[in-house]
Amino acid sequence: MAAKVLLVDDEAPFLSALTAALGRRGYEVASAQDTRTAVSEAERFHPDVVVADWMLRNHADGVDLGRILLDRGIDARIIIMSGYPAPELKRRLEALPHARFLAKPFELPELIDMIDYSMDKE
Amino acid sequence: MAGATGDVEQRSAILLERGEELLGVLEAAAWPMWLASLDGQCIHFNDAWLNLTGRTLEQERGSGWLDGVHPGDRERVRDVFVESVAAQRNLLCRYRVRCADGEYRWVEDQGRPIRDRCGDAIGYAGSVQDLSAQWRRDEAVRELEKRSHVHSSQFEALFDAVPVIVWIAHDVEGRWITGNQASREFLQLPEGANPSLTAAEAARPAHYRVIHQGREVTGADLPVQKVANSGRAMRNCEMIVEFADGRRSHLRGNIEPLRDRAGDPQGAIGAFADISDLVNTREELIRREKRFRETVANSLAGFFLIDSQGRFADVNQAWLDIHGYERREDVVGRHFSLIALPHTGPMLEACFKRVLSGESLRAVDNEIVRPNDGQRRHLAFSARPTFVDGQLVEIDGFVIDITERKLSERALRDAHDLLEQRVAERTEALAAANEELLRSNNELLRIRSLLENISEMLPGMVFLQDESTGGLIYTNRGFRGFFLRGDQPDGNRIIHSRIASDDLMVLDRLYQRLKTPSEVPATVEAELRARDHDGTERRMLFCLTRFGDGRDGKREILGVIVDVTDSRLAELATRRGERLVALGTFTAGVAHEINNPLGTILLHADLIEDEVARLAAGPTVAESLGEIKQAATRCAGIVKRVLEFSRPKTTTLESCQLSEVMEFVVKMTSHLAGNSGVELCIEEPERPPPVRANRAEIEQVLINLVHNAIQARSSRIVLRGELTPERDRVTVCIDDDGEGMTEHQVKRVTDPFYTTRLGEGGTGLGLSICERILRDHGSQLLIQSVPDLGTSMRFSLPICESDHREGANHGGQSPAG
Repeated sequence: MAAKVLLVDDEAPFLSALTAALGRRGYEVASAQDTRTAVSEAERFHPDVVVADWMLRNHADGVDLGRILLDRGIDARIIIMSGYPAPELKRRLEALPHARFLAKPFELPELIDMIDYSMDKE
Repeated sequence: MAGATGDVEQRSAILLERGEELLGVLEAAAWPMWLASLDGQCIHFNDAWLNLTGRTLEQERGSGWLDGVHPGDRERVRDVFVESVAAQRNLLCRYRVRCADGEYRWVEDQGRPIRDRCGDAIGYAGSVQDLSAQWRRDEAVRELEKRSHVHSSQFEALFDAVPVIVWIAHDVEGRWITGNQASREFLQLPEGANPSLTAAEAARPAHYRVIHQGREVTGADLPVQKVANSGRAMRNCEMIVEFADGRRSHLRGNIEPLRDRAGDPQGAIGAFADISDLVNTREELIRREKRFRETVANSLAGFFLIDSQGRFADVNQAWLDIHGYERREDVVGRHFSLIALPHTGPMLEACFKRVLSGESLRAVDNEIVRPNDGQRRHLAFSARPTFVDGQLVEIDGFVIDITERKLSERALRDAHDLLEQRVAERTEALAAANEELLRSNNELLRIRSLLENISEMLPGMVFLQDESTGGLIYTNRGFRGFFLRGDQPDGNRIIHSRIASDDLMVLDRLYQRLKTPSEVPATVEAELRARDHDGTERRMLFCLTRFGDGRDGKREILGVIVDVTDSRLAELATRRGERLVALGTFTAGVAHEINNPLGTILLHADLIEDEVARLAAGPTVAESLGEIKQAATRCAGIVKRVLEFSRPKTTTLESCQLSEVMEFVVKMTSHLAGNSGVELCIEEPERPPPVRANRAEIEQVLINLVHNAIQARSSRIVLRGELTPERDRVTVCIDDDGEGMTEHQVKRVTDPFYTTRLGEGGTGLGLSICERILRDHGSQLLIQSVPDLGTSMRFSLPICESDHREGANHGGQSPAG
């Protein structure tokens, strides 16, 4: 059964490309450009894996999103992407169980390996 | 001889000429007589002789008479006769002669020479006395005396035996006086002489006179005569007999009158003792005592007499002066405690007792206070007992004033004490100084030892150099290790031999500056290049300072050399690090902006790739897309590594299972490995315990190492985790069979920005980041590589003790659960 992946990124071209690529590889994909949309999508979609950019608009980031989802009982693996792996992010990430970090840019197989690895851990 | 013989014959002739006359005399004599010539021949014996011997003249003539002499006496008689006649000496000889009745009788033969008018001897004549007859008569007399004069004899014996002088006056005028042996010896008169001074003028002795009661007495006034005349006895009569030669003898005695039967005075008998010695002694004593008293009285020393009760019997003027008394009466009769002070009283009492027991004391110190002027005086006295019949009669002694002497003694003693004290103080000070010196010296030695030890332990080099000769006085281990290996110690030359030739002038200038007096402070330093033993260039900081003021002719240079090569490199690295941080901060800012579009590009490239594949476009498009993706990936890789290198370290250690990490890494790199045709596998002989590490960082290290291995054109990469033999760490190995590296490459492979794939997107930061992460974990990356054979990289991580124990506990409990 194909995994359900929720993609969250405020950069539209990246989001559309990633959505298309994963979809083409057989994943069931939903996407959101901001935290609020992401939360509502997650509640509707119940993803297995949430792949979120760290730097999101509206003063919330991927880690915040992960915690919100966790608080709302949405049990999903979190993969945080960032082109700027600041130390702060690492510390925040440690507070989020099962979260993994993926540095931008990455090649698609890297992301697929990580999604599959997270699913395996499940 | 002929002359002599002729002389004898001539004299004999003379004798015969006078023969008639002589013979007449001989014949007239009633006792036996003989006549001899000078040649010793008897020429005639008278009738009395012939009657005695009963022999004829013819028989007796010549030497015939000797036939009648007893054989026992004959030889002796002949010798005496011949000798006496020949020497014309008187002859006296007793011998036994045979008488007419045939019996031998003792006779005494006396002879003497006969001389003519001129006194020349002409012959020899002798007479013989019949001793037997005399002896018989004497015996009869002795018998008579024995019988009738026993008392007289006893008296006579006593008379002569008594040692006192006895005179007996036999008449009232004392004209005839006899004396005993003692009297004769006293007056030096022969026996039988009349010592009376009232004897007839001619017979009166003139060699002495008598002094009685102070004047010379004569006649009837003489004591013995007086008693004989008066009939009154005199007792204790003293008189002096003064001899003509000036001698005087004192006589003392008693004189008793002698009376006849009618009681009339008849004479006197006096017995005297010579008391001259006694008188002389007495006079001498008196004289001496007088002199002694004068001496004592005039003596400067005080004299005292103390009786057995301790009272002063006498003192002299000097004693009064010394003790401060005016009159003898103030002292005499008083007890000696008069002069005692509270502290001298017991001592004086003890002295008195000692003297009482017979001891003599000398130079006893005493102290008094004079009553007349109140002065305290020091005295020294002697004391001595006088005993009579074992009874102490008095104590005498002398005393002198030694105050002045005492004062000088005390002054001397004070001076001496002061000197002693000074000496003691000085000695003490010296001892203290000496001790201080020793302490200082010990402290110096200790400090020196400490300094040498410190110096030996210092990682740098230390040397002490004589300024004038340049000789090395001291070098520490560091110095010897660097400079003296295989070299002879030769000061400046040794140092010069290691300094780069370009910097020798700098060193010379350093020494010059040290000698410049105006150089303040006296320490100079400069950084010089020096060559190591294997020729490696090192940077050395030379610090020189100068010791000694040169007054004792010694100046020394202390040098400290520090190898600053490493710190210079570290500084360099630090500066580079700082630059990197700045660069990192800058690049990090833009990295995010670059990475996002790069991500978009790559994703879109994937999409296009998929489309191209579906539309079956020409290979040129696919190649172009591949180029785009590769370029984008390279850009991403560059940005990533630059960012990671400049990222500040924040390592949080946690317990993590290495197998999980390795599985993750293999999964993450399998895509790349698959693309490159590399087989990736994990070997775990036994599942090691969890390690204490930052999981994400260790993942990053492993991913990096696996990437490097893939890029080394390996065909197989093995990841292995196993416990060390000590079982406290887990070793992680990544072995590949790739192209490998040279030794030089291995050395430099962890240097930042070192890369062997400069044209292939390598930043040269990967392994340096790995090394930094491992260093943060207390580990290090070990690389072994052989070109064309492959590379083995390994590091170890400590096992997580708490988890390890926990796990062990769980394991222990699981059979029960």
